[in-house]
Amino acid sequence: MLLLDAQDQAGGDLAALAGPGGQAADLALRRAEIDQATGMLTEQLGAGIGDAFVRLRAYAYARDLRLTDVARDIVARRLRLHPDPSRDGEA
Amino acid sequence: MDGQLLSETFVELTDTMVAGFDVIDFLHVLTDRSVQLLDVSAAGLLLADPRGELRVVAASSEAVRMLELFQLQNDQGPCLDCFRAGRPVAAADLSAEAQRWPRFAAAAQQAGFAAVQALPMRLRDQVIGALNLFRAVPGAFDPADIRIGQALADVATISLLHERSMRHSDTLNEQLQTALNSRVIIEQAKGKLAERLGLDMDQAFSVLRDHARTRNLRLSDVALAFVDGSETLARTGAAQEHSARRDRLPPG
Repeated sequence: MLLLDAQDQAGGDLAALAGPGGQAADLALRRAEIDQATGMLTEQLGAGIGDAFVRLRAYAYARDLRLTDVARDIVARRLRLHPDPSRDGEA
Repeated sequence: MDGQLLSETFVELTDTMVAGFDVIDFLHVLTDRSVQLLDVSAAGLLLADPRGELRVVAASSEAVRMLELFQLQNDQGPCLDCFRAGRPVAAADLSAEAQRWPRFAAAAQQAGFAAVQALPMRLRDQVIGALNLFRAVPGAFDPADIRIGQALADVATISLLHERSMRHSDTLNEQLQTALNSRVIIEQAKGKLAERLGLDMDQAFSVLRDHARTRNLRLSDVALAFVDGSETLARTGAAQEHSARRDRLPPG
């Protein structure tokens, strides 16, 4: 169920974020990266897919970053999240 | 040309009526065997959704998957031309194609590809998608390779249409929708495994698929079980091998 929730959230989030022109296409392009980053976060956080996605989105929202940019940084291993959110970004 | 592998591939691409048929697995057979059998360095596959829009459903590497998405994003490239015309489209030297596909030609070269051949996934007047073959060096594709590539695409097309008509006569969309849903879980599983074992996404996908193959499981089932924690993949030979290799290698 969590998994389905996470997918719904991911889908809803993408739809809500999709702006005019290039941005919707860019989100489609980056969709796989969001899924891959969410999978990576389950390991970094010791969490399920649903919680991992919530943390990904919260990180982007709190810093006014695009979800796709945060996902790309995680997949490229430039960013790690921590089980304790106050320590996000530490090596 | 590996004749044995070729005949095995034709059997694989016909064998959709087995219990546990997995459309993503099936499509990856097409892209991977294209790379193994033909003188090409990478292959990607796009299928049309019910609205006629192409979706990337399989690719032999992450680089090709990104390049196929780039084509769709920019509405430009050989795969789209091939799908719309229902005929093969070729470019022997992408450095000379800046006029035909300005953005695609640049992106393809940046990704390390110099030549492309797109083949339609077509049965009579029904075009369901396109198979893209890429080479790292410029030059015309071997006509024999093109014939075999088209034969593989033809067999796969007939099998996909047959599977649709046998199982989902009322919902043609279901096959593709299932594939796209599986894709989400597979990407999540790749991320989780890449993080756990220190692999890149291509390696993580190989481990998942090898695990499914050797145990005769569906790729999407393995991915789902790994993501929800009921499957650890701890006893997978490929995972151990990747892990051991990482331990042996010095950093960097």
